[in-house]
Amino acid sequence: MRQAGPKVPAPAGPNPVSVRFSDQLVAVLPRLRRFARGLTGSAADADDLVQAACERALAREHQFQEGTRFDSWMFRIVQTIWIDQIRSRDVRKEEPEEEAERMGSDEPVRRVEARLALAEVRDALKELPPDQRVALLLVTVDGLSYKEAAAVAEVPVGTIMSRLARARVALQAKLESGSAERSRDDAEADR
Amino acid sequence: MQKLTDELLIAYLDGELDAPAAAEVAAALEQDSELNRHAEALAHSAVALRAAFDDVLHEPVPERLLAAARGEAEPQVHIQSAQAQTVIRFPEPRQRAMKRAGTSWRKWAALPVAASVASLVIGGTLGYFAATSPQLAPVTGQLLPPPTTTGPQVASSSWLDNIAGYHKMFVAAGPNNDVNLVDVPADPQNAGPRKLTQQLPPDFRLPNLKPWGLVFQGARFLFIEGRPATQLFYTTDNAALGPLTVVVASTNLPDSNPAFDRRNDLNEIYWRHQGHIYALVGSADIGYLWNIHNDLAWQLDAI
Repeated sequence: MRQAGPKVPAPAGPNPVSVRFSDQLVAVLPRLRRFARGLTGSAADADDLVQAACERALAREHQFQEGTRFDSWMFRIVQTIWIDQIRSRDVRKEEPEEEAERMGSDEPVRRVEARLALAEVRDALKELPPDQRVALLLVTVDGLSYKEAAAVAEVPVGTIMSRLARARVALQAKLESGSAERSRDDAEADR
Repeated sequence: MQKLTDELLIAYLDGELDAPAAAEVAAALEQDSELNRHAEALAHSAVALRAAFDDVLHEPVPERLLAAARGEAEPQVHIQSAQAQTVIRFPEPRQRAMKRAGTSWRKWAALPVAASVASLVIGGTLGYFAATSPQLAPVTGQLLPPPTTTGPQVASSSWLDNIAGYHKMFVAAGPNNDVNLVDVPADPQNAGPRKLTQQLPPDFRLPNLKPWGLVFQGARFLFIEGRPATQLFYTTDNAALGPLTVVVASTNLPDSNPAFDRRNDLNEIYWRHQGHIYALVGSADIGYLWNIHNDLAWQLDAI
């Protein structure tokens, strides 16, 4: 009978991830995807961005300090990667959004109009400068406080406040001009 | 007070100002109708922006992202240069919806919400509300007051469309919605990731509609006739009564008798009393609403 050899610890996997960290990451994915969708304006680019952020987060798990808000930490990573991307290349022309594919020709007109109106809002957001887009998405869409958003963007609260104000007013103006244009077109079509 | 900047106004709308500063902004809003319209438009566009990205929250998360979050995915190499070659294409939306049937209803539940928000964007925010001529709801044989001509001005009543639109959105999203329709949830402990930017004013007492089987589900803030207002959502198991909205706003206009209206296929009853404007919105018939109005008026008189 062979004697049992000394116990050897099981080799660690190539990328051991603590379950708790990973669970937090999974839980925050929908919000990260929404944030990234708003930043990039494209579903595919947004998911690439979130995937890159997950990989970076896992690689830097040791840098995460207990007591820090996990979602804010992840928003910061997404934002940093996105800024790096837009600095290092021209953003490709956005693809048509997948919602357009999802709409069947038999969908009631009201729903189609609703989709178009919301697409108009997304288009208006895309025209804003990156820093304003970040502020809007963090505060207005995700509901972070100014202080939390400032921590993510790594700027003073006053800067977030002014970026947000410029963004909200610009967005409002874009929506208003789009609506005025639409009603002008409607009036011409009625003639 | 100095000229109100957009920064201050937006911080007020976001619930970021301390009490004295918020009171100053509220006072400025009361005195300036143009500023009020501006604030209302900004508040609406914020709702529209949230709605524009709401679908993403309800989409099933692609498997590749779940794998990445668990550290099981092949790392993306050179993401910055590989932009044109998505590493792994996730399945088409329809396929994903079938795989995760448990969540697919949310997407469709969100669609009428999106439609309602869109109608607010097209209408309320930008001042293109379709002119809906008021019409009386069918009378059910219960004792009702005669139609009034002293009710709140119909000419400036786009807010009636607005509150009817939000009522529909709330009903479409369901009481446990996570579409960020409410600013103050009924259960703050279960508010989800969205922070509570605002709270009900300390002197605000919730109408008790439990005797009607109505359960408070949350509140949102809006502007009515240029002043901040609160819209309270209630639900009930009573199908004949259905979900109900109660709106309370301050006003400097004189008292008025209750007036009836029908907007967006919903019945509404609204009146002014001692510096407040009140409205009830629901699919219940006017007789039901009238009785709740009586109860509410009695409670409010008692406050």
